[in-house]
Amino acid sequence: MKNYLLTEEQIIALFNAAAEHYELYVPVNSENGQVFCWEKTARLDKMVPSNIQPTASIKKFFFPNSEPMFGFKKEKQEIELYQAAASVPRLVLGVHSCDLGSIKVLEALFKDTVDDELFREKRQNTVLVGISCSAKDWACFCSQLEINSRFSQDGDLFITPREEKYILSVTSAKGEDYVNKYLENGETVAGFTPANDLGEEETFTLDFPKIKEVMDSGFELPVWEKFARKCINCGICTFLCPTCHCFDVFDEARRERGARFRCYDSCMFPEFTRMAGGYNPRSAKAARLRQRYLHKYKYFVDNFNLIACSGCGRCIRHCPVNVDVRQNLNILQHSGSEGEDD
Amino acid sequence: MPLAEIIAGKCQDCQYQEMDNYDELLPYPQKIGLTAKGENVLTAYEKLEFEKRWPEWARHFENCIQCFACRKVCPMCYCTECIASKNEPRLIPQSVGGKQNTVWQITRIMHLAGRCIDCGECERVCPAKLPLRRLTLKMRQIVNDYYKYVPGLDPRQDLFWSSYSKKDPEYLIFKPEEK
Ligand code: SF4
Ligand code: SF4
Ligand code: SF4
Ligand code: SF4
Ligand code: SF4
Repeated sequence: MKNYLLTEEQIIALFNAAAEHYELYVPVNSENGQVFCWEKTARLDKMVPSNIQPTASIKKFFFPNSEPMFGFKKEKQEIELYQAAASVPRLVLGVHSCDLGSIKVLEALFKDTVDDELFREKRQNTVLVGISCSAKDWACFCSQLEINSRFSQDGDLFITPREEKYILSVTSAKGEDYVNKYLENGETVAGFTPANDLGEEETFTLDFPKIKEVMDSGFELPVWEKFARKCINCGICTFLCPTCHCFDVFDEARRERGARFRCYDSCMFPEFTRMAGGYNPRSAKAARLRQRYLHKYKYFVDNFNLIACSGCGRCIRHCPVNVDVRQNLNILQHSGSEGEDD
Repeated sequence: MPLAEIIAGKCQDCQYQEMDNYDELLPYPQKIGLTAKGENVLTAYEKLEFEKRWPEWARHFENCIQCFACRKVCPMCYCTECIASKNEPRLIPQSVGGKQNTVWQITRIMHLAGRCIDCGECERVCPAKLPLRRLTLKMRQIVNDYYKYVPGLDPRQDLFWSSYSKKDPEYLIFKPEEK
């Protein structure tokens, strides 16, 4: 891994150098307030802060809320299909380790299981620049998932602020290409040791293998009912989660033309499993919440040997009724398969 | 800790702290109306010049992710099948984008006319931080101006949607003629 020591001017110049060829995205807006998602900017004037995790996760760049899969139009009696949108090269700045770590979950599906063209093109076209996180808040629990908030090799480049300067680590071949093309007179540093995680002020430690064991035989545990009691099935947790990947496909047309879209769906919605005849295998709220937990911490591990969670805390921070996955996993961990009393 | 720091934003301009339709009333520990009577997020917002309003809204509507949490949390949304979940025909576009999201939100607001009790929950839960109370308050104001109806205020009053009077003005949706 190559590391460069750069001044603020150098690092800004490095990202502005490609402005002609790349759309540049930053986690701040012109007023520097909290952003909902990374916003496009024409130029970078100062280095982005290291303490902002946008509400929407990085998955929006590869797997957006809704996207046209193809367009169709009818002329005379002929139906023509055409590519609806082309992906453009993008550079996303200031991505935290949790979001970078979540991409392998999406890749396990959209890249390794099926070669999803829409996902592949966007992923290939995007340079992800991580930044060492300086603000762990009350909901973050990335370190419980063995993600180092201070350093990650899951993106293409990674920035660690050091005194007045910045260490730029090259963490992928794409990152290397970028640096070779756009960096002028970068001074490399030898012997850079990435910082360790900030650590969490957690009152408990989550033991994921143990949790999985409980889940393996815990389909009927009474705690599911208890966990779900206050949930309003709003779906915020799944829409914001960087690893959730469920979608629905449908056509939208006006007159003789239209497009086939795919857009987020959520297992927290009652309609998610409702069948055409009206039967719904997950009609109970507890069954839906259980699906979300089992999918993340059990089924995904069974299928891909990966936990489908990066501890970003969005599902905790933005849940309107304070459903806290950490607390619930902790209860599961200590409940054993015989269940938990109220 | 001062109440002003922990109280929900919505409660700060609540105009209805002393209702009379209760069975038991516990004494208030402290009055919570913190803004001057008649002032709320809508009156504050309406001081903004008209031309400056849409660009801000356009940006907000771009951010909406159509999670429908605003609907799910609403105590007054009680349809067994929401218009937004209806599939064939699909009435609310499911593709997400500024225009489509505007359609969704305006529809929701219209559906809550005469029902919205201004609990402010939709605005509180919205992950994209849309200032939804400006819309719900405006809609409440229109309903009250033209139909003299404030949802939830008087349980003896006939419900807005299920009552009709010949004196009702005909313009809930359309711009009224200047009087
Ligand atoms: S965000 Fe909270 S209330 Fe909404 S579906 Fe998820 S757990 Fe339930
Ligand atoms: S489950 Fe929650 S903490 Fe885990 S990645 Fe998803 S949103 Fe983040
Ligand atoms: S089933 Fe639920 S938890 Fe699993 S990816 Fe889909 S929305 Fe997320
Ligand atoms: S989950 Fe970790 S990397 Fe992500 S914002 Fe929180 S502390 Fe930073
Ligand atoms: S809660 Fe906010 S983001 Fe979700 S649908 Fe409503 S307005 Fe859109």
